[in-house]
Amino acid sequence: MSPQQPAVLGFGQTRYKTSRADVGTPELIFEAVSRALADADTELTEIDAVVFASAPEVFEGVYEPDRWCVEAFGGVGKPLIRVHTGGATGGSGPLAASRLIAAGLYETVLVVGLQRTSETADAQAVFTTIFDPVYEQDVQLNVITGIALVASRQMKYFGLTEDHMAWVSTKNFGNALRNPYAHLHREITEQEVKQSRSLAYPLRLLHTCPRSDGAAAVVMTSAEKARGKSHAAYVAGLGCAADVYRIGDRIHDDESDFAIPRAQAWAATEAYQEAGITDPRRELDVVEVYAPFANLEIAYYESLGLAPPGRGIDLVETGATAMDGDIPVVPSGGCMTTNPIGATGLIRFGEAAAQVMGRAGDHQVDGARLALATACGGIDQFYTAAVLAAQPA
Amino acid sequence: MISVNIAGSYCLPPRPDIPMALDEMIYTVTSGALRDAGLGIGDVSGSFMAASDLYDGRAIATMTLTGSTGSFHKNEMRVCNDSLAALTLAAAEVAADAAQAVIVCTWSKLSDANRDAMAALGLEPVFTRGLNAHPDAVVALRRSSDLGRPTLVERTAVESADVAVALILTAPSPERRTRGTVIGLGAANGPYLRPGEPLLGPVTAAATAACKLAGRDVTDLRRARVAGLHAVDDDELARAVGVPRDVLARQSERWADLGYAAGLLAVHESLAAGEPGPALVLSAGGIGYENAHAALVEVA
Amino acid sequence: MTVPTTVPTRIPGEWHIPYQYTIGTFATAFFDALREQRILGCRCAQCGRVSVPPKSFCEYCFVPIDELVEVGDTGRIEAVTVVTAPFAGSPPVPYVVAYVRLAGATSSICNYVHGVDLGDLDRLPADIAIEAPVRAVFGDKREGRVTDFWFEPVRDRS
Repeated sequence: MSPQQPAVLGFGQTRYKTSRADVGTPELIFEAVSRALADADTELTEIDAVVFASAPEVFEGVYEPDRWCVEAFGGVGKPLIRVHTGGATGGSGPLAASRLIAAGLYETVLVVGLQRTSETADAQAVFTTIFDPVYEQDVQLNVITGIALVASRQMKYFGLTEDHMAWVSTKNFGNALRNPYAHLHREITEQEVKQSRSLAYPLRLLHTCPRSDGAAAVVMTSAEKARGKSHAAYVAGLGCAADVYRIGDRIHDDESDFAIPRAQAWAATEAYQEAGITDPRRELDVVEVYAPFANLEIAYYESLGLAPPGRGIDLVETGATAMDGDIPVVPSGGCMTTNPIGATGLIRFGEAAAQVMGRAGDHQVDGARLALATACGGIDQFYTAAVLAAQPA
Repeated sequence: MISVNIAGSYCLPPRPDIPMALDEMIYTVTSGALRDAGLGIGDVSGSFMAASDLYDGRAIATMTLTGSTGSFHKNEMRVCNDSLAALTLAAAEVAADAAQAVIVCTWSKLSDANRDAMAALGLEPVFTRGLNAHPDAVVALRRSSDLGRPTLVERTAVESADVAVALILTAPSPERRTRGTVIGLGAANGPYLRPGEPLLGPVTAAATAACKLAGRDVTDLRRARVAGLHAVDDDELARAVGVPRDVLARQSERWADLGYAAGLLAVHESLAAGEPGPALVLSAGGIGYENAHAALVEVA
Repeated sequence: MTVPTTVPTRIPGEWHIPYQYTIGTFATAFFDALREQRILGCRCAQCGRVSVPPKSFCEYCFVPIDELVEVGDTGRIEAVTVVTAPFAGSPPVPYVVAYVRLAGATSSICNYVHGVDLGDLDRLPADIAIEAPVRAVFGDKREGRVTDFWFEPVRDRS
């Protein structure tokens, strides 16, 4: 039997906040799943399997939270697999679902993404345990420090300045104002960004992502079944790649630089190849990149082939990635305005699907037919990439 | 229908304490499985793993272990279920023509962890955790409901166990070595700690689904090997799966907690048992055995 | 009967999970060597990469490694930041952390950088710019931990 092309029927999400104190975790999931099923015009009985995407469960404070919440996503009696690849979790979810559908194991798969970062009083204490317990116990890094190290090389070699970073932050906050679900709804100015609290040189508070509570869900099925539905997006290409763990191993060599995350390039190239894309800058209509920091978004312009290596700042200086530019990046406001870790990659995927279905509401990019969604885990370590198309292959 | 070749298999069998760092344990089995398959790291395009942050003492366990799982510059997929779920996604990758060869791996190193401190963390915090129940008691209550009589649970200390297992899956090909073929997969998840629901409902459902996908009847089975599920006795399990008692095989009770590695170890045990023919492998994780997975392997 | 609208409750809970991480012989050798003011890496016989700190297999070639090598105590900064916002487990701020490629190594190792004037936090001090030379300095009291040494800028001696 030849592989089925996977398709997306619908996307649902919760309103994201620092803390959704009004609901228990199963109720949060129920909100997202109900909306996804409605958007997909699909009944629970049509769901053949569930992929649950949530990252360190220390945040929820319950081991294996998917079991606990099973009734909230209609999973009783159904096959259930949970994926967890750190920040890339929400991208691994649809990737796993796509393979299950393509292999003909299950026809319609619900992907659920969850994170309740607010349940634990000290999220940073959780983050420090992602690092190597053998060599790195005594020199504590955290995510912000890690990404500041990326910025140091971008500034030294690739012309990055605070002005470029401030532009990206302002763009994303502005975009979020047109996304009713986004966590942060604030007007900010470039001046405010440059004066916000310093975290680790050169990163400031308004260069980084918030910690959000929330859930998202996506209904996927085969392209054949999608034909009978009123709207669908088609998975045209998928990619996934992991880099070595040690930052010290990937700072630079003849072929790569820490400032241009190579595993992002590997994953994107794989997806582009499958989708038949040779010039992503021209062929993609919109990019929902998983970029929790302003400098990282610029680095990803290069990794994703939207700008030549080391020239990501060009897209900032020409305004190309703004909503009215020729390659809008994160019209949803992106990770910098909403980041419920395990769900975030799924939000990128859902947003990309919504764009090519013409269902992105006030942040719709006109005429979007081809979109890219990515997710990132670890310190720029593992990546997923998905190309969504308005038409089946 | 599904048909995915198992080209190689390797394990570090359960021992109370394997004197290696975790990444060394994993590297040993992934490189061992490649050798057993007659393949090199360049022949595989991905690594599919089952790991628990809690057992490994790292949030995002697989992050620091990437190299040892053979994931560098490849697809990396990680599940938080028994390793039969990793096998499922790996088989799907090959069956979907997205890969020609992949690694499946899993591990557990309880000797580094403290099981008592972890045991009750799967209990939801709103209604159940306040009871301070031990998971063994929870299972015993469910069984009591199933059997219609009181059950007894003794808290015996669980001996720590370190283990690691890896398989290589490939597309079927006359050029590849073969240890067996994955011909069926199934899974089912039961309600969470709900009394009145049969404890082994998900196990039965997963077994049935795997046989159905393979187009086989449960009476065709040469062997039904169950990983874990030590609170359940052989008769109950044989009934739930629908096989005679002498077709059933269990893992050693000495290794009561192999974490997510139990299922893939059972697959390895099936391949190594010298019993050609269809072997069903079953696992069920979670506090009430509600997350069940099954794989049907035609052992070469 | 409708659900009363009151302020929803929160129930406390904590995770206390002790671990004892087995570190293997290569890491043990590295920490032992620090006591003797030596920094060890390893060399992969197949690709020649010298990684610091050492590991027992090469993830690029996927082969075991069996050679430990000593690397030099001078090197250059390859990535650096000045941390100004504290987080769980961090030392008091501000402090400098950098990845340094030591002489003879093909990878860099991360550690704190001391002896830097952090008066103006809006720019990166010149002596910790990328490519600036640094030296590994060992403390008098060594415990077999990465913090037995740190980096200091090499001052111009001309």
